[in-house]
Order: sequence, then structure tokens, then C-alpha cells
Amino acid sequence: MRESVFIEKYQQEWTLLQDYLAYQKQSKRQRRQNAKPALEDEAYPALYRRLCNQLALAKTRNFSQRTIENLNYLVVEGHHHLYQRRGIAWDKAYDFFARTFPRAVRREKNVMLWALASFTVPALLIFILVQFFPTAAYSFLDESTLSSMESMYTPDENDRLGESRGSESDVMMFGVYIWNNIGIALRSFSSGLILGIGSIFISVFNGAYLGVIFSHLDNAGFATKTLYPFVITHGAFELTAIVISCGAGIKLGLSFLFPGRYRRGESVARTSQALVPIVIGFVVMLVIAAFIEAFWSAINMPIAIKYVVGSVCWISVIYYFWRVGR
Amino acid sequence: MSEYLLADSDKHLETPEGIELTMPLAEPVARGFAFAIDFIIRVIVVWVLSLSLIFLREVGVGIFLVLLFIIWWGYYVLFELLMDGASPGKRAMKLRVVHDDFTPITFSASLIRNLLRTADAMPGFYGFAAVFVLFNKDNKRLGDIAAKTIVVSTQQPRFHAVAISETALAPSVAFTADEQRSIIAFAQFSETHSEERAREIAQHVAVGLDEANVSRLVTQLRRYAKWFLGESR
Repeated sequence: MRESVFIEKYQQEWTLLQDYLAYQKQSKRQRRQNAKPALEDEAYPALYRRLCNQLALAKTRNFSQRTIENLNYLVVEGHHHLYQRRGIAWDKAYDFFARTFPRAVRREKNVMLWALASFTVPALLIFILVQFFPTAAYSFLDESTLSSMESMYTPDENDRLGESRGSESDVMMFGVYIWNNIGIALRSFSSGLILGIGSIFISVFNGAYLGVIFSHLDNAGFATKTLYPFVITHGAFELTAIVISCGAGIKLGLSFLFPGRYRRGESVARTSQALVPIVIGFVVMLVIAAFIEAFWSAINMPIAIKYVVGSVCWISVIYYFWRVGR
Repeated sequence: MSEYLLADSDKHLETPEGIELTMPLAEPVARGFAFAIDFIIRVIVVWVLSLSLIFLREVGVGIFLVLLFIIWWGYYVLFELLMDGASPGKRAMKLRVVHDDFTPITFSASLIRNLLRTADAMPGFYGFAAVFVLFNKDNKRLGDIAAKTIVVSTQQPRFHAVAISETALAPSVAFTADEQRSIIAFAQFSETHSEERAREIAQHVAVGLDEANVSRLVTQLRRYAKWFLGESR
């Protein structure tokens, strides 16, 4: 068959497909205004396969590059439309939190424990250090930071900055927690790809920071009256989520360092695909934490209630990652 | 042929229908421009937001920070899902993100490739991304490797219908498929370009033809091309 005959014979089919694919690209509003394409949805796959045949024919017959490229372009567009992947099913949200997320975290138990250690060990060591040598706090943080912490958590309600704020500043603090905390967790996860260094650094740094502040305020005698009641409830979600993000980051770095039987790129691709539920999970946990921190932890109320609610949250979170979805 | 394959800037894929598809990979420079456009858009949006929310005082700051978070971390994921793999910058540069098998991008792939921008941006000014894009066969940065995605150009084929104004001539020697294709491409090129340029290229195209006169060579190649295209006259 000569090229001109070939084109003449199939041009009509190509126009049909072109119109059909152009229609699929339109937005819903444009679709309502424009006429439906002549090609029915049911007839599309068959015609697409004919088109594939025609491309193969054009290549083996050495038709001009122009014809081949035009056909190739049409097939690429058609392929893009015909083969679509199944995305995440949002109606499975219950299934996600009841099974997928806690299971994914348990599957990565080893790195999660390492992440937990990289957070708690520096925190505990520095806490103990500052307990014995109170002035050591000043070699970690400068005086203005520590004194602003003191004024935030002083038990004297008239001097206090941290608690009993107006509802306006609650909204502001909510924004701060979202931008700051989730940003840290996402960075902690993704910077882990470079050999896990970023994740571990962020984890150790945050652990040490927390250790200094807690120990310093404990020395000042504020901790049990204001600090612990404030942090206990949202801490259950926030600290757990930060540790999980660090663990996921370490896992990402390990998949790059030790690809095992896979090629390095393939290993990273598989691992990051498996870590997606964990990322979604810790982001949701941090949103919950931000809500609690901004709108619950700041309310002025008897500290006994806060200790009870906070303990219930900690037990629930631990139970969740230990048992739920088994 | 092999030295040409090394410099191939196209991505090839064999489909379930048993044919080979080709898509041109996005050039690193075009991706850089797309990034710049997206960056400027984000900065302008954030700036306008900060100006309009300042009147709400503390509540405004709270809302601003939440929106800032969404724009900073969600901009690419949002647009890649809504606009079939193209953020506004990519659309302007006629680029699109697709999976390795040319299928439309999904949520999890988009999330991975855009979260890992943090790693790509290290140790500064997208250093890792630049190194990986230049050395990876498919111009992938780290995020693309992890998400199994590629950035392709969606530009329409640049070949236009060009009739060759010569009479067809059956060649006396056999040409391989690739040689035929390059001769046809040359003939079409010579229709739209100057005679001098055609003469410069002709000798590189004519493999194994012993024709000393360059302008006769050009005519000969054009007549062969006409024949290869299936015209007998």
C-alpha cells in the first residue's frame, strides 16, 4: 500500500479518534457546551487497537517520518487515556485508619524503634544532665529563650504568656502549629533519602531541645503545674508523629543505602510507595495534634482533668499502634 | 547506530498492543523555566494572601499560615492531579508528568515526587536534582526516581506535510530502514531550507553513494525519497 492510499483510507478513523481524545481533555463545563464526539466510549478501545496496528504498519513500511510521528502522537494520547491507574480510594478512609496505617507502621517496627531511640535517648540524657547541673541548660540554649520559656509556663496566672489566651490567638497558634510542625515532619521524612542523615539530625535535635526545656522548667518548679498539663494531651499525637516521620525517613535512606536484590532506583521506588500510607497517617496525626494544642491544651482548667484526658490519649495512641488492625 | 542511541532524548515504551511508543523527554532547561514560573506564581499568591489577611489580625495570621502550608507543600500535588500532570509552570512550558509507562499520574506518585523536593533541593539550590537530572538516562531527579515518573514534552510533532517536488527514481542500491528514513527526512528538510544548507548536509546523509557532484547528489536523494514514499512517478 502506498503512503497516500494508506492515509486516505484511515484518515477518517484518525479524525474520529482525534475528536474523541480532544473531548476527553475538556473540563466538565466545556463538555456541556460542546457537542459529544461521534465516537462512542464502547467503540474507543477497538478503534485504538486498530490505530496501534496502523502505527506498526506505517513503521514496517517505512512511511515518512511525518506520518509515523503523527500516528505516534495520536497513540501516545490514546494510551494515556485508555490506561489509567487506580488511585487511592478516598471512600476507604475508615479502612485506612483501622488497618492500613497502623499495620504499615508495625511493618517498619525496626526503624520506628531506632527513630524512637534517636529522640528519647538524647532527651533523657540531657534531662538528667540538667537535673544535676542546672546551669548546663544555659550552654544549650541562650538566656532569652529560656527566660521566655519561663514566662510562658509560670504558674502565676497574671504573668503567664502560654495559657488562657483569647480565642483569636488560638486560631493564630493553630496556624503556627500546622505550618511549623507538619513542615518539620515532612522535611524529616524526605530529607531521610540522603542516607537518613536529615531524619536523624531533626530527631536528635528535637529530643535534645525538649530535654533542656523540660528539665529547666522542672528545676524551676513549673513543670508539673503548667508544662506537663499543657503538653500531655497533644504530645501523644505530636511526639508520636514526629518519631514516625523520622522512622519513615530512616527507612527511605536505608532503601537507598542497601537496595538488596533490587536496583537502587527500584528499591527506593518500592519503599517510598510502601511509605505513602505512613506519610498520610502522620500528617493527619499532626493536624489532630494542632487542633488539640490550639483549642484544648490552652484552656485554663483544673490540671487533674488535663492529666486524665492526656493519659487517655497516650494509652489510646499506644494501643492503636500496638493492637489495632492486627 | 549505537552512538545515536546514547544521545537519544526520547523515552520508548512497548505497549500491551505490542507496538513501540515514543515520547520526547522534557529538556532540563525547560523544567528549570517551569520551576521558575511556578515559584513566582506561589510567591505572588502568598504575597497577595498576606496583604489581604493582615486586616484580620491574629485570626488572619492563623489562616495565613494554614494557607501558606497548603500552598507550599500542596501546590504541585494539587495541580498535577487537577491538570493531568501539569502545574501551571509546566503547562506554560508544554510539559507533563506521567508514570514511566505513560499513564496519568496518581495521588501517591505525585505526593512522593513532590515531598522529595526537600531531598532534591539539598545541599542547596536544587543541587542533587541538577546532578541527577543531568546524569539520569530519563532526566529524572530523586523524586522522579522514587515515584517512577518522568517529565515529558507534550508538544505536537513538528513534521509538516511537505510534498517533494521531484520525480521518483528507484535506487540502484538497497537502503536500510534507517537510511531510508533519514533520506526522506533530508528531502523534506531541503524543501523548506536553502539549497546551500541542503548541500552541506547531503554528503552526511548519502552513505555509500559515489556521486561527486553535490547538487546532483541532492537531486538524487530527493528523487529516492519520493520513491521511498511510495510515489512511482
